[in-house]
Amino acid sequence: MRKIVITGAGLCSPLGWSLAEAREVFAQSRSVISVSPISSPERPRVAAWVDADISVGLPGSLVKTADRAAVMALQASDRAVADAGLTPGSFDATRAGVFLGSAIGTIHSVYHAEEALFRRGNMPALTLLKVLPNGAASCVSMRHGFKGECTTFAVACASATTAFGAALRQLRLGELDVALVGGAEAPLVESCVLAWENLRMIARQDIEHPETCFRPFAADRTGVVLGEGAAMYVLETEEHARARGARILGVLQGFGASADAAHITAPQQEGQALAMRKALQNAGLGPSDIGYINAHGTGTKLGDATETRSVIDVFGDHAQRVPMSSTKSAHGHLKGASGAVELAAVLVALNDGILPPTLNLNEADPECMLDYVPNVARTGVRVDAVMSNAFAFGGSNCSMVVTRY
Amino acid sequence: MPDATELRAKILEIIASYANVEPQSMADAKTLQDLPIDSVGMLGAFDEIEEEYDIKLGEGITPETTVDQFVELLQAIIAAKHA
Repeated sequence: MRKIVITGAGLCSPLGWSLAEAREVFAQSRSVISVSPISSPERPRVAAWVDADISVGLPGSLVKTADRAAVMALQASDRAVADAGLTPGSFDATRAGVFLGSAIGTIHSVYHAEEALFRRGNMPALTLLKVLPNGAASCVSMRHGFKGECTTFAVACASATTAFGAALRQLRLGELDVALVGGAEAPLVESCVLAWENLRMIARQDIEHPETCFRPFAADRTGVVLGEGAAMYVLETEEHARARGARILGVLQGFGASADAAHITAPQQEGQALAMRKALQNAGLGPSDIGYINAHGTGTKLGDATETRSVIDVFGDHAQRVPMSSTKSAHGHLKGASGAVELAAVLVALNDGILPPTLNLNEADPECMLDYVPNVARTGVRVDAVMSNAFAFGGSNCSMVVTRY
Repeated sequence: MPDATELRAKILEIIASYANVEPQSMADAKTLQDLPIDSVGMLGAFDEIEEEYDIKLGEGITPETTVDQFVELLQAIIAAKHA
């Protein structure tokens, strides 16, 4: 079976725009959650967001026909391609694909189009182009000339992780040599945030101390803090990467998916455990080979307790020894992009020996009794294999295993 | 209300932003179809012009419309709005 390696990383996220910037945030045990751009005195809010000009360096013809999530995906893909040293002519464009996940896709443009409809009596002329769910992947494909395949995955919070699984299959099958893979999400508009708030999913908002709001696995956790951003990676067959002398950041060793087939929101231990077992089997590894788990860890009462039970189910005694953290406490929940931005934490663990912490974990919950790397990053840790979990509304579960090269 | 020179500069700036070119590179364009922009970009640019001046361009603009005629038309629409 072909080995599939990661050779480039690019972000446009609250953590920064590169793996190095993300590493700094994790190493400093810092949160990048702040007062939301749509906070108001009536509705004080916190969020993790990209406080920068996201159109910088991009052609207007792309930026002006694309949703905010797509523009962030473009920035991330530019950086991933540069990081990988992938230059035109160094790969066969017809064997290069794009795989991108997004949960709520183009809600940013939908919101602004409807706002214009009420204000001006008409929709902006390019609305249809901006609200196409496959817009972000298409923009990335056009920008980099990847002609082999261009597919979008909408699997709620497991969207990006699903994209990695799909890319892994196509690369292993020999259908492609190289792929740009990741996720993008831009949910910070009034309608979308209200929808989450009305579902009682959002953490208690403390705009005086935004960095303390997201508390996965803690007894006093109150839910999710929303985030926006994109992360993209260059994946290649090992043969292709070595032929062009690429630096290798890690190996996408295995992927597993499952469906709960039970409830639209309530996570199920059986389904989560099945996804993790399938990922381990696909990777050819056992539970004791995993040295760190990047948890889904959304800070909900039911979600964190279920994930803990699922990990104990799969890992047995090793569950008590393997460190597991939710980096969402630092960068918010990027929904469909979460699996992609969290791959940055995975690569930092593998390559830098830094285990990013679960922040704001001061009070232990009796239902969450594992080692969640509380509050302070662990350094100097040798990790050879990491599991990353993404469990979605709708009961779609995904896990992937990434190993040191 | 903007004068013709000011308006022409603003229009070309907006169109250029959809065409990935500098506004100066379009200075010699006689008609709208001479501008280096595709139909999607032109739709976006028209929309942005409408938003900028809070107007509706309406019908009657064709690829053969000259840039000068377009500026005159815009001036007339803006003037009518402020009349």
